Amino acid sequence: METLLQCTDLSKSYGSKTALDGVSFSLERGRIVGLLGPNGSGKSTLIKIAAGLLTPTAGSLLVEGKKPGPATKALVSYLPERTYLSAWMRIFDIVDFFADFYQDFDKAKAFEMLDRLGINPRDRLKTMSKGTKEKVQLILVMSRNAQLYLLDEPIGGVDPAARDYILNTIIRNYNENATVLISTHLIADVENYLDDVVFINTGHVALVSSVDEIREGQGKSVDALFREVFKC
Amino acid sequence: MTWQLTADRPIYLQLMEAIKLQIVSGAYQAGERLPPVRDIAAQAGVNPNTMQKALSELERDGLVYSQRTAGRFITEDENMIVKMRNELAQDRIQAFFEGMSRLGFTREETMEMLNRAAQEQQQKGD
Amino acid sequence: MLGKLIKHEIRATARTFLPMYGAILVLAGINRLLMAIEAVNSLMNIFSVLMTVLYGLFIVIAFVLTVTVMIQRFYRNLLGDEGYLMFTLPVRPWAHIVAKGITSIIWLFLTAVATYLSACILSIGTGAQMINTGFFSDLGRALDRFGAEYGVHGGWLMAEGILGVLLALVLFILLIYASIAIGHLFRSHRVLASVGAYLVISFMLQMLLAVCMISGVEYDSTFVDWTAQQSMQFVVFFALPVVLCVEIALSAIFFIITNQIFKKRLNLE
Repeated sequence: METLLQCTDLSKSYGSKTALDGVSFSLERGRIVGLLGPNGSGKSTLIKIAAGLLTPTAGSLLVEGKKPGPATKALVSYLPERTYLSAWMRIFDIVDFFADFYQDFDKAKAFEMLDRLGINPRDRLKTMSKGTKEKVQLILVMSRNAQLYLLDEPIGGVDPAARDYILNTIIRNYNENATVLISTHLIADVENYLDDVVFINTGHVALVSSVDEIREGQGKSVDALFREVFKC
Repeated sequence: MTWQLTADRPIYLQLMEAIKLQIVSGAYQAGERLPPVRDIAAQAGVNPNTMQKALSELERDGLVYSQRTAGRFITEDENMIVKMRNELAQDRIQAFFEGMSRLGFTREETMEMLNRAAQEQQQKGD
Repeated sequence: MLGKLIKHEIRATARTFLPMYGAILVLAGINRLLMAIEAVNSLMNIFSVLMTVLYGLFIVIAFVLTVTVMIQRFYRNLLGDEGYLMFTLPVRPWAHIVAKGITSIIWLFLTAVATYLSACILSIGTGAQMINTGFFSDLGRALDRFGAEYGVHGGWLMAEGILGVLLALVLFILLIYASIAIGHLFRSHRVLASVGAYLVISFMLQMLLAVCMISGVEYDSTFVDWTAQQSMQFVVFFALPVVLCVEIALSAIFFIITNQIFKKRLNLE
């Protein structure tokens, strides 16, 4: 199936607050897509719906033609913005956990990446710095041969060296037939890694385009176009 | 360490230049096997599809060739590499002369300054 | 998948319970030793008393802890930050509920076992019979005697009693889970809402129980001419089964509420 993710008129409201309003777009296989927008634009909400953590108020989101559920969760590898692992667990406990529940999890790859970072599998998560914890979560997510990778603000709040490591790890490890959706507000740092971009603001999709189209067609960098589109 | 890429020119062109430099300077040897696309892309800090495009263009130019299962290789044609090296050198020299000319120096003045600078460099090196 | 969830659930909670069980058994041992030693001075006396108090305290704490951990695990692991991990696993929501429920029952059972074992330790060599080899044959005879007198074999009553207790336990656990889930529906003050839901539902259950008792008494008074045998038959073959069915029905309702909330109204912040 070429279209991996399909949003049709997707809306999500919390009481009087609207997080997403009639969002429609689709993602093809094998692309690295940036979900770009300022803070509070609805990026996290969209990703959480795709991950099956939130239910839409209206409209639909389909992953490989199915509504988010156990079938799609088996294909989707999700990295949230927060630490979602238990602090008391040892690294090898966590790796076992992932291997247990996800058929597509590559244990050897995970241990190799952890080893390269100098992380001892016997360490408990709570002994690690925030930055290291984030890298561990990234390694776990990228060690899956998923069909859709959903990365929610993977580089926000990290130092430049860590940023390089994170983006590097993503590029080296994602399944080539899969799609990677990276949400961020740091456009300039990820621009060169992206195939396509989706601009989102206040719950609306402002633009869907390929990076080539923007650079060659409009003669601007994505960062420059973003500043134009989202001028305050 | 991501390669230095600017936003004003297509990335794949910049990648092609960077790889050419690496070939010419010997960082990539003639006939050497290139790492997988995604690894070079990760190194360069770019999207693998963009790197793929750059490599395809270099293939068209004959600097790189691919063998179905074995991967991508730098050309074994040493002459081509030497020729490219000279071309790149010529481009730089041309740019240098144009730059000096824009500063207001004549050809003779430029050559004189060049010789003096070369001598000083040699003395320091000894 | 369910088995894996239970396995991980037990692993996550064992680190709290096993040391606690160890402490109970050790304290029982200490108390047993102290019982055998003559108090030499008042300090030792105080120490003995302290150890006894501590032992009793730990038993109480163990049961309280079992319930507390059950609530905490459900709330934190499913609806806190860890929920981001749990709810993106390729399992259906009901599996999470069942896994945690079964694990809670296992720990409740083990806490009871640990308490019993500690009592056994205390009774070593004192002649008190904790493990009676004749227990089952004695029980069998008692149940037969019961049957002869009341017309209904005692085994029925015992089975229904045990089942009733188990179902009450399950009901208790599912009520807590449902309360937590209902609290999750609110956007703020979720914990408060959960407590509120628990109190409201408990109150309603009490009302239901009161109504049943009253109508039961009414019903019963019309059969005032019944013999003891007939009354017992009524209880064993009608009244108690009805109670058990009601417990099952209520458990199912609470389970469905929790499951539906997880399926349709999940809103992890």
